[in-house]
Amino acid sequence: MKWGWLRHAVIVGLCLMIFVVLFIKTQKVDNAGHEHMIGTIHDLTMQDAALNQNIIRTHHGMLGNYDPFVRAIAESRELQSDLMGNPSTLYRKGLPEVDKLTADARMLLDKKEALLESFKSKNAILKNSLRYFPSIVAMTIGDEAEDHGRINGELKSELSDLAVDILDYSLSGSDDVRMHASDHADEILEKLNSLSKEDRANVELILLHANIIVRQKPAVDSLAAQLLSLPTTQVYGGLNTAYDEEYGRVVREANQYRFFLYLFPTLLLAYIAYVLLRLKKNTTALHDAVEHLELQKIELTESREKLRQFNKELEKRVQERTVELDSTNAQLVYYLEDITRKNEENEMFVYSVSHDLRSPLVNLQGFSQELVAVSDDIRKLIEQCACSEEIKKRGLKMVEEDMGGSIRFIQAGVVRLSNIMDALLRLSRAGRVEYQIQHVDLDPIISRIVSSMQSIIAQRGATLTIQPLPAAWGDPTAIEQIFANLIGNALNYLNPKRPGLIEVGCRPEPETTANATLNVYYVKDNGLGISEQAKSKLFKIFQRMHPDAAKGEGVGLAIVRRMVERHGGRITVESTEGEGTTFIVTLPAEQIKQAPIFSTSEQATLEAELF
Amino acid sequence: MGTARVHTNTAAVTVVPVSASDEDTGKLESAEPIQPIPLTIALDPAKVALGEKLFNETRLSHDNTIACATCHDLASGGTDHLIHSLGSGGATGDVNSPTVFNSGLNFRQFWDGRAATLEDQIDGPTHHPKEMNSSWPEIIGKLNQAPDYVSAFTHLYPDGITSLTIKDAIATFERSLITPNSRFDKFLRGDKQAITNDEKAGYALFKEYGCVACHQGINVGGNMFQVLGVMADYFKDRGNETKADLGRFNVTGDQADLHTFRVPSLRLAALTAPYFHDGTAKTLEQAIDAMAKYQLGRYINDRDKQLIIKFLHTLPGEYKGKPLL
Repeated sequence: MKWGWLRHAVIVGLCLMIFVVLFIKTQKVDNAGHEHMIGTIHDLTMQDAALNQNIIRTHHGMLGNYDPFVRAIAESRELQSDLMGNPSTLYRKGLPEVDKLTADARMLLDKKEALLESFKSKNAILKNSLRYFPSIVAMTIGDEAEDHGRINGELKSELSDLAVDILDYSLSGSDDVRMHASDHADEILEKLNSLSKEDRANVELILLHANIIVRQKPAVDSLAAQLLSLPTTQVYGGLNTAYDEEYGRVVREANQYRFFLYLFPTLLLAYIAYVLLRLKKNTTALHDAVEHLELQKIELTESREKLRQFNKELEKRVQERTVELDSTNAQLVYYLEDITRKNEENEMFVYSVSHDLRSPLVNLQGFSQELVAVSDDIRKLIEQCACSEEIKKRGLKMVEEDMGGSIRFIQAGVVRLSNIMDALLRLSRAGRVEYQIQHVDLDPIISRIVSSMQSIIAQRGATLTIQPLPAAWGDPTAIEQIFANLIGNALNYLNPKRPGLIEVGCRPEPETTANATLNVYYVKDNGLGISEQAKSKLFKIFQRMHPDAAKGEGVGLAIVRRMVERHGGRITVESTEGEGTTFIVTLPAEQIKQAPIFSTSEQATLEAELF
Repeated sequence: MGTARVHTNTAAVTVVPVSASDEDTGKLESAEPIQPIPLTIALDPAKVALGEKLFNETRLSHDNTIACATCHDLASGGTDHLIHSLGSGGATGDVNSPTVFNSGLNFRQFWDGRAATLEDQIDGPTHHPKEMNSSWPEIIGKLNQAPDYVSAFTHLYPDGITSLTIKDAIATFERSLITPNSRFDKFLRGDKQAITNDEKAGYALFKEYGCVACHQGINVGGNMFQVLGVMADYFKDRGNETKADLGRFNVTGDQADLHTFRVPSLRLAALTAPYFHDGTAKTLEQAIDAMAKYQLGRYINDRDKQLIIKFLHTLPGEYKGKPLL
């Protein structure tokens, strides 16, 4: 846009410059100046013509005085210096031809003036003599003179002839006549001495004036001819033509410029019109663009409005969802609380049931012991009693087999019940006991477990490989229980047909979750292994895979899982039946950023364990 | 008129050509060989005044003794009546001082016509060692020390005091020195009673003898050159020929111009004796005799001579409205 304006400014500036130049060019025609020059030349020509006319008049003795000559020369000089001044811009540069002609004119005027001065002088002398000559001749030889009788005869006729010849010569300028006159003059000169003083003086004057006339006449004629033949008219005419031609040339040139001067504004106007039209077109386009933009703006506004509404809706929906979620959360929290409460209730229930069942069980144990004692007493009585052997035999058999059998059955049931209750109490405790979370160095714990199990290891003939284990973050007691249980299990379920190999270690790459870095510990054996269908029930309470292999209540792994999950870890199993089992336990390597209060899975697990 | 171009502050003033007005010419021109002097001439009065002051200014001469007016005494016919004027340091001039009156009506200046204009003429006497013996730098230097001149020139001419402006002022004043309204002019203008019958007869004789062949026009002379000694050798008869006697030859070097002089005006001839360039003619009678002998080749008797002299006495007119003495 900026450049556009600059371009227009440059164009307009250039146009103005061209316009001014053209205008100046057209102004070169100086009509007034030209008229002045032509007028001056005309005046000069007229002056010269008048001068020539006066020369002719003077030559023929008709002009009174020479003042007109003086004026003519002075005025011609003035006119010429006017011409030389070149007042017109037309000729300011100095045209060679004009300069030459002007110089010629000046030279001619100088020459004319010089000739004229000479002409004036000689003419005055000639005219005086011509005027005086007839009268002195008449005075000398006229009737009046003849009366005195002084000049007679031959001399008189000679003088008469001389007078005639001189006057003839003054008119004709004929050389013959002049020769005749000269002859007469010679004759007269010879006879001078015979004359009286007065006559002689007169005749001498006649001869003097005749001589003057003869001498001056051709000079004056020649001067007049020279004056009249000076090419002043040609020079002035040439000057006039040169000026006219130059004027014509300048006018033509100016007219050419004028043509452009007229053409130029037309073009300029056309250009301006074009620019305006284009501007208008541009404006229209701009207008359209603005309209379009406004339309787009409106659309945009609408879109924005839609978006806003959509956002609003979204927000509303999010809010709704949030509310929903909140309510769900609340529900969940409620459920969790409910579950926790139920769990607690369950644990309390388990605890109280176990506790409450303990007393009758103790009674059952006690009284079954009493029954054993009583059956011993009865057996002794029967032996002492002198009853028939038959009766004795039958009685003992009753005491020992029937009664004794029942008592043993009762006692076995009591023991089993007691064990179940202990397990339940342990499990209950595993969920409730408060952990002392700390940095736990595993190596000494494992060593302690291994040493406590030395006898059974020896008994089973197993080989334990303990790799150095990284420290974990948790409760040392719980962790000891976890590993003791897993190592115990491994020992318990070794395959008797091959030497047992148990390996305790840690996988080099820890597991990383959102909250913690978990060390991956494992306990691997080459024992009996676990069938696929058993795997799903492995961590449930009271489930035993190999009841024959070892004593137990089937709560160990359930407790282990519970403890591991309370630490925020997980326990999984990899096993192939008949080849061996690997339990994998993950425990936090360091403090968990946000210690899990509970996890739904844990809660679910507990419920799953129990029910 | 002049070749010197002078800038003038007062544009209103125009110097009209020194010639008879149309009123004077025309019908009279062909009728009479002599024309009357115009009664007025349009000139810048301030320049005329400055020129008059300069005309009387002795500082134009080297030793501050000679002014134009010293030799061209306006109270005495515009000349000093000496054969040869006394110049700076007591030197005597080579030729007789002509009257300054009506000098503007002469076609050229000086006896030998070497100056075309009055302006050019001023260079002559100011620099001539036997006249003012000065120079333009000297004159300008002196005038620049006179505050009245400085202010007068500055007022009239943008260029101030220069040789051109000095000459312009003096020449302008000299052009104002015309002597119109003579009795003869009145006669020429139609007042037949302005001159006496004797004077009319003198005029007729003036024409008859051929004096008018050279002494003619508005200034009764001063419009042509003429050889002194057409009919007889003037200088041989007079003797003691000087360089000044060579006349126009000194200007042109042309043998034809030997002893040629500007024909003097006879307007104030009655008042400006002695006569001729050499001042040898003490009286009009002597002058007429010499002219008759050397120029006309004829004899003029005493009666005619007296009549012609009477006619010559009708020619002086008035300066500033007062008859010239």
